[in-house]
Amino acid sequence: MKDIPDSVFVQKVISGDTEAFGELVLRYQKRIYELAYRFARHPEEAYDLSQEIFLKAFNALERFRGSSGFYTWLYKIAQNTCIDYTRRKSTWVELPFINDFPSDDSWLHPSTAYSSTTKFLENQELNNEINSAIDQLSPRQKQVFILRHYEGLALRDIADALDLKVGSVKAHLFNAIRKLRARLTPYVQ
Amino acid sequence: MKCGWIENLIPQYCEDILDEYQLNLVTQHLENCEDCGLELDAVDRLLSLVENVEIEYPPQAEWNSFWVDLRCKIARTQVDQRSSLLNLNWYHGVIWKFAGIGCVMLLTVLLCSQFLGGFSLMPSYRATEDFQAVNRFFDEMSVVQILEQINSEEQGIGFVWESDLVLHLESEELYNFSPDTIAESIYLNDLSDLDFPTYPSGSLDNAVLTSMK
Repeated sequence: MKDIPDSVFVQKVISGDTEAFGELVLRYQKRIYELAYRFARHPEEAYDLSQEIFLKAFNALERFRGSSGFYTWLYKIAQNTCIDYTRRKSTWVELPFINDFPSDDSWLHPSTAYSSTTKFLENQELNNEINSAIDQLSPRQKQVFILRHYEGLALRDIADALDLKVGSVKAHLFNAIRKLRARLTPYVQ
Repeated sequence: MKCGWIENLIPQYCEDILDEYQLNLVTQHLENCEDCGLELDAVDRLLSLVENVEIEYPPQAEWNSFWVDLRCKIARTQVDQRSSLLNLNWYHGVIWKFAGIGCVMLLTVLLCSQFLGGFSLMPSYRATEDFQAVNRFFDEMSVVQILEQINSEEQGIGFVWESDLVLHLESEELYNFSPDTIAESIYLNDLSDLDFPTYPSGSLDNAVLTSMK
């Protein structure tokens, strides 16, 4: 199954075999989720965001011309969806305490889970702090920073993806690093 | 070189996006400045920390049901699309039916009005029955004859116009205009050329002609 190229499944989906899309999802679910997580920084939101990405891809699959690989095409959709997500999210009011709880139910059983909870919180503190610092970047700074540092895109590619000039990308990147540096000073000194 | 200026370039140095001139400046400065070296280390650590943030995955059960969840959403979307398409078709059908019925009704009304009187598509007088009588007179005799008849006591026929126009037609001033002028004006339904002392308030088709024997 793994040796079969994506294009075979794409053709099957286009000809009406929805189940064939399941194989493509299985192949790229993790990579797309990781990209979504970089933008959403919360498992549930990243899950929903990656579902949204695959749903968009499924609905747009008829327009896939095959001039690039399926994953390149899917990644472009994912990127745009994540960029839209940061735009949308910039208008939301986030509840600050949601990230402070472990995602399992160990905090409901303090007598048996005290140590694991404490450890969880200790391990999570830095992650939460970094996530929170990234959250405080402007949407553009966030997009540029994530695409550069998590996706490893070149400045030119980021400029194309965000419809910016390379100079603007540099400026956003510089400001993002400066803000993160100021916010995370205690952790890097 | 001042440290403040170099410090501003350190993030870009870490990103490897400096041009050659700036790169040389920063490199040379870093060889001799301990503070800027520490700043470079701090930014390096920061980027390393941020890049290595752990990714939290959803619980395994949820992760395994990713495709099942997505399959449900796809199915829901397909149903929505079909129903919206059906709705669209239904709305189109209703709109076309109403449009067709409306056209037929309009056509019927126009045809009825054309043949049974009343409203007409053609620009014409909204003639009263009496005015049609005047037209019949014009068809049958010259204007001179009409005027003669109007003023002929021998014929025993007199016409009274129940409007401003009537009064003037009956008055002596009638004879200030040639019969041809009156006839032309009546035909054109434009009495302004007649220059009555008091301009008629109604047009000819508003005037009601009654015959008096």
